[in-house]
Amino acid sequence: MNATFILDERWLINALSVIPNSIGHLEDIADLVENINEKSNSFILCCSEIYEKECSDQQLCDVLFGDLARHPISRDALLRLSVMLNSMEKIDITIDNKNIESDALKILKEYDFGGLIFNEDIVTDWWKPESMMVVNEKNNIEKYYRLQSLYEMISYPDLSLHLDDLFPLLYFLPDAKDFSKLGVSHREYLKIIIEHLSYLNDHARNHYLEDRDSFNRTASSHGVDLSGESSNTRSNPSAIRERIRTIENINLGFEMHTKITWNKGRIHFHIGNNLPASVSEITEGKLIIGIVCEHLST
Amino acid sequence: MLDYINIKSFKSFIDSTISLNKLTILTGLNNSGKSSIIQAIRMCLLCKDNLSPYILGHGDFSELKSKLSSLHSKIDISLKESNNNSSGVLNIKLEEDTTLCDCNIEPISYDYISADRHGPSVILPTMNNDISNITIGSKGEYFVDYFLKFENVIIPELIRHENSIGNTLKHQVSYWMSEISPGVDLNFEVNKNHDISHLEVNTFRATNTGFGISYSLPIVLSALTMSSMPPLDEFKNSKLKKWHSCPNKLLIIENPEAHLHPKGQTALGKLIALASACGVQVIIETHSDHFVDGVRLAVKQYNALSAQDCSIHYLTREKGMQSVSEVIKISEDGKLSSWPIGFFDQTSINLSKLAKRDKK
Repeated sequence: MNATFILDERWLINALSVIPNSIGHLEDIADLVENINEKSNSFILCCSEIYEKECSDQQLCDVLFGDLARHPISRDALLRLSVMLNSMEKIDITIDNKNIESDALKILKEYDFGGLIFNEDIVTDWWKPESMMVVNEKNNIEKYYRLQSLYEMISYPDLSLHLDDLFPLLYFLPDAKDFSKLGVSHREYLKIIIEHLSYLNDHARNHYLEDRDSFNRTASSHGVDLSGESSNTRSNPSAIRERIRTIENINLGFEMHTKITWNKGRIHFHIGNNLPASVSEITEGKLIIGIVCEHLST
Repeated sequence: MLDYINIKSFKSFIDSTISLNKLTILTGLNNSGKSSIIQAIRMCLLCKDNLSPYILGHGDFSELKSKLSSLHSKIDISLKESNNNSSGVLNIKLEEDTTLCDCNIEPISYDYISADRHGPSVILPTMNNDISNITIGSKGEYFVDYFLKFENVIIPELIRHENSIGNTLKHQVSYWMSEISPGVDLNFEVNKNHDISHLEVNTFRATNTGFGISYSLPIVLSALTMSSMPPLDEFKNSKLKKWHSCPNKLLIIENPEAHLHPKGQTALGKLIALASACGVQVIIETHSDHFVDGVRLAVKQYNALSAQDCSIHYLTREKGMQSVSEVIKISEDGKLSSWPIGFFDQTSINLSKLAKRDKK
């Protein structure tokens, strides 16, 4: 899977037009681009004429490389942006449509998918929410990876390769990355698998720590069927043993799980906090996905 | 601490005063006067040690006297120091046949590491009794012997490498050198019977490794050692003890960045900045924006390192004119007070040209 992002030149032009008051905005753009570059298989595109775009009655390149590049306040931010812009892939615009407000949008329309690096929502009749997304902050990067995964119907092996890109706050035990073990149809259930993992990444720990008693209900309100083990299962020693995994010689119980369907597909997890330092060093304090299976014994 | 140097009738200087800080960075185009400032300081320090001020290979009075100053003028160089409430001056006046030295400054333990250092060598010399001062050598040639003499000194907390274990030079040098070559394993050995020493890198002879390690080791070792406290069992050698216990320490380094990857250059900038915060006065000549960035990051990151204690001199020189220095200050957030034309702007100039469609 390749994740394609497109820098909307309007964000850059607007920020550069009011420099030095906009140093914070320029740093935001640079931080976002840097975060995208840290992800695997990410590509950032911009229009090939970006340097010639009008910016405060000058060309953008004159602002970027002119007197402000020597100004003590703006120099570092501009150099950082210059280096980033230099490394982006430049795309020639082939659509001559004056109704489309930026070259980045023209590229997006032509590609039919992509993460638009921009700080405003887009309202247009050709926008496709199933393959296009505005990326204006760090959290949106992984959300775009999830969108792209669904758009491409990423295979289970590919999904296991991109788990850190889609779910950076989850730690997967080595044998909990093979989603074919869930025993559910890839075509029918990939969306639900990604939704469940997204909930575990984005909300589960906070919801659990805020109110453990209503954790299941809260998850359900987010569309995730989640539960602990029944009292029957807890009183069955061999069933409990099935739910134990070891990290650094410490046994962890993976009782809590999400249910992909009522009878198949279980993602067992541990909330991952308050663990011994030797474990946290490995899991980086993340929520731990310990078992991915059809169903364990009860 | 040396506060400033005044240079008259010397090379590209007619009469200039250069302020010196706890950390002074000299930068600028080639032939702008950076090395001449360092040469002038070294000549004063040689005279202070009752040695000839003329450095081998740098020429005599007629070569060193400024062609820009009047015919009969003398070379006149003064170093002014201030320590607590006292102040002193080290002045040398040179004419064709005479050298006058007037010195009333406090003792200084100093070292100078030149741009032209020893590359990887199978055999290195040791400091013998005929060497008057403790030194790592201007080419870094004594670094193995130097390390073994000081391996048990205690490195102050401020300059210890992040997440490191062990507080002696022996431990800390490995961590800092890992910034240059990750996981590097160094083994230093001296053969006293033959006054030779050698370095093994990851169990291989040094000649089977790149230049970066042998070029940076003298700098890392001297910065850590000069910042250090005595070993727990004290020095057995009185000469070492006297040199190490001197409260005034000065380290002069040319081109610390040579042969290093940008990451290593930045790490050296940080190390040198921390050494200055530990009380070593450091004067650096550099062409590396990565090194300067390392200093800027250290100023931003460590409260113990005051921005006021670091200055950058950007030297320029027009044809037929004397060298001119512009002082650039570093602020607490690591920003610089100005970015004059020619001062580390080449990346921006290059990117500007690459951005334009025009091929010229």
